[in-house]
Amino acid sequence: MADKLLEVQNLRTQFFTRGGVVKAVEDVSFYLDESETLGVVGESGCGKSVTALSVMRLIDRPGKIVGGRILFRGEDVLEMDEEELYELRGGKIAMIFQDPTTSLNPVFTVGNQISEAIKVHLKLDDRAARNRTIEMMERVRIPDARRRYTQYPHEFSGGMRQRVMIAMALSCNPQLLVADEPTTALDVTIQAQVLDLMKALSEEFKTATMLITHDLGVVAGMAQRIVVMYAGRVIEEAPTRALFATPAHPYTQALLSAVPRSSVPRGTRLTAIPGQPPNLVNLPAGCSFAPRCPKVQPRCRVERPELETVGPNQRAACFYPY
Amino acid sequence: MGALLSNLPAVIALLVLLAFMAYVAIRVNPGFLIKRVAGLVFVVMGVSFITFVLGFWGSGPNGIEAVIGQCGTRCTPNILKNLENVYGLRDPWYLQYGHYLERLVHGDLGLSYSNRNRTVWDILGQGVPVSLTLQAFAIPLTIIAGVPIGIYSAIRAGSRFDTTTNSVSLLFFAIPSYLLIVYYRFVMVFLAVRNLPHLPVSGWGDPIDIVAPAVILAAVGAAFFTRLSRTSMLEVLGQEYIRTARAKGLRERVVIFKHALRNAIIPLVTALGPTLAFAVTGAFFTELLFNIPGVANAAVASITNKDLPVIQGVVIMTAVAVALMNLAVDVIYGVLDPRIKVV
Ligand SMILES: Nc1ncnc2c1ncn2[C@@H]1O[C@H](COP(=O)(O)OP(=O)(O)O)[C@@H](O)[C@H]1O
Ligand SMILES: [Mg+2]
Repeated sequence: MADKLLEVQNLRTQFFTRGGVVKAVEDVSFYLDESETLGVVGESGCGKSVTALSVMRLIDRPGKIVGGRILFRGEDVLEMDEEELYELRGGKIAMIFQDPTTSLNPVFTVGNQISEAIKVHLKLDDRAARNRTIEMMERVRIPDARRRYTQYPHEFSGGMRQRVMIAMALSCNPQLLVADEPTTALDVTIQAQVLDLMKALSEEFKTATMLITHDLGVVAGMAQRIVVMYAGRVIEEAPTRALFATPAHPYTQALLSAVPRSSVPRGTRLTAIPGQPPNLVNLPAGCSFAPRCPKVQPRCRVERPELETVGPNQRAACFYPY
Repeated sequence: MGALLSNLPAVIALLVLLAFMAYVAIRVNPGFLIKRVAGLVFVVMGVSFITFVLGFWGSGPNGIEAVIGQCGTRCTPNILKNLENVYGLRDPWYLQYGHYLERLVHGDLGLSYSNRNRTVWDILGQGVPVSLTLQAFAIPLTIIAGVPIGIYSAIRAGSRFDTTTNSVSLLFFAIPSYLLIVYYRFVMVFLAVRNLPHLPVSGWGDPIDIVAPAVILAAVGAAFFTRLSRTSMLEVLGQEYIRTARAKGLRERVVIFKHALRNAIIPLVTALGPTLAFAVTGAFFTELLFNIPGVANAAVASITNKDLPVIQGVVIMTAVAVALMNLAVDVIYGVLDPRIKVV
């Protein structure tokens, strides 16, 4: 197969704020195959959401995609005109967000909000769209879907709202689902249910998933491959098993040692690394992780390491991997 | 029929009110309605008591002065005594207030102290339709001008249009309306002495008379609504559900006119409540300076004449209007925002 489903090449996204230019995403490259689940992991503020929104071309002022290419089935998203973007968003790539409470419009019924996407992308009439909506609500296991069609978001629990978001996202048969921390705002018990549902449905619909999280426990059981981000860059990329068995980058190692090695429980947060991530306006010369790195060498502070192959399908941006 | 036609705006206002009451009666649950009506009674009692007490001692005891004024130059002690009996001015204040309340229950606002044989209803009945007519032009103008400009300003935040709108609306918002009227007069006089086309500076009766006061009232109101709708729309446009709507592949037109606008108008309804409620008396300076025979004129005359029943009538009417408008706002709120349960 010639083309990947999604291929992001050297993406750079910046925010032009009063305090300076925030280099939120710098030179990020990764890919997804058809039907594959890719985990994107990193501490809060490392550029995961900005990467996802860039893929959808949803970056608003003061932000701007300043460089790179985003190829979806070989077509560059950054070259698309408005009409092509309307078809791409929701139709080919769908997205779900962290907080289902604020992501749903409070003044429209759930049925209205799911069916409007269906009408646009599948070109169905009102009645067919309604039927399709109720079918989708049943497939995400919302009980009593026909009745709940006419209810408002505030009448749903947090977990049910995220199911609504999932139903909305998958309703138009997208080839790629971008899930930006889909369980972070949910109770731990609900998290597992929603993740299981996402896994089952993406297999059923043959949808590739870009699963963004700061929670290694979430990706462990879901993703085939994982991309680790730090300070706006990809610092390691590996198949899930290899990443957990032989993490190459000291940052990945630190992330992993912050959680119990053998069983990675869901809900484990990546907070146990001493120090703060760098300011994205004034990045230090050399490796961004150097100030916090336990294995730092003089070279790390002056020269930036590039992503290089360190093992089978495994790449890391470190002069002294493993 | 002619009278009906000349009071057309007032008739329309009345019909809208009736339609609204009917709607409320059907849609709102009885418990809510009973609570609100009880609240209304409480407000009327409280307001009438405070005005009565303030008016009773404030205007010199017993309203005697007002009645002496009515009695005129050929006043004899007998006539005065007679008048005092008619108004019950000999009674102690609490009895007078009691009688007042008793009549109020029957919808009777009493007799004017200073106008012989005129009821308070009669006096209000002259002023209110005039004020309503003025507002029937000013309020729609306020909203039609203010809201779209504010919304567009928010959509184009940071543009030249937005910054200009911001400065102009701040200017109109900050200038008191009577200053605007002074400027307006100045310009009209300037035009008139050069025999250029111009508008009247005061008066009432000719349709053209309504243009200037309505526009001046609307300018101040529209400035307020522009700022409010801009803020509200900006806030909504930053919400995550707007991002969801865009991520669904909805057209920008749908994102703005369906998802954003519907949320942005909710706070505007709150502001509209008081705006409408104070409409009757809110145009005080404008009515006075344009010499419009509306409620403002009646109120000023009644204060000058120490005509307590008329003052009472104006105040109670305003209070009832405010309470009704608040009820209207709550009901509309419940319809617009499904999270609020009043309906
Ligand atoms: N609208 C914005 N204006 C300025 N900076 C922003 C904006 N959105 C995101 N950023 C910056 O971009 C960086 C990456 O943010 P984000 O992608 O949201 O992180 P996360 O990995 O937690 O999803 C952060 O440092 C954040 O401060
Ligand atoms: Mg994020």
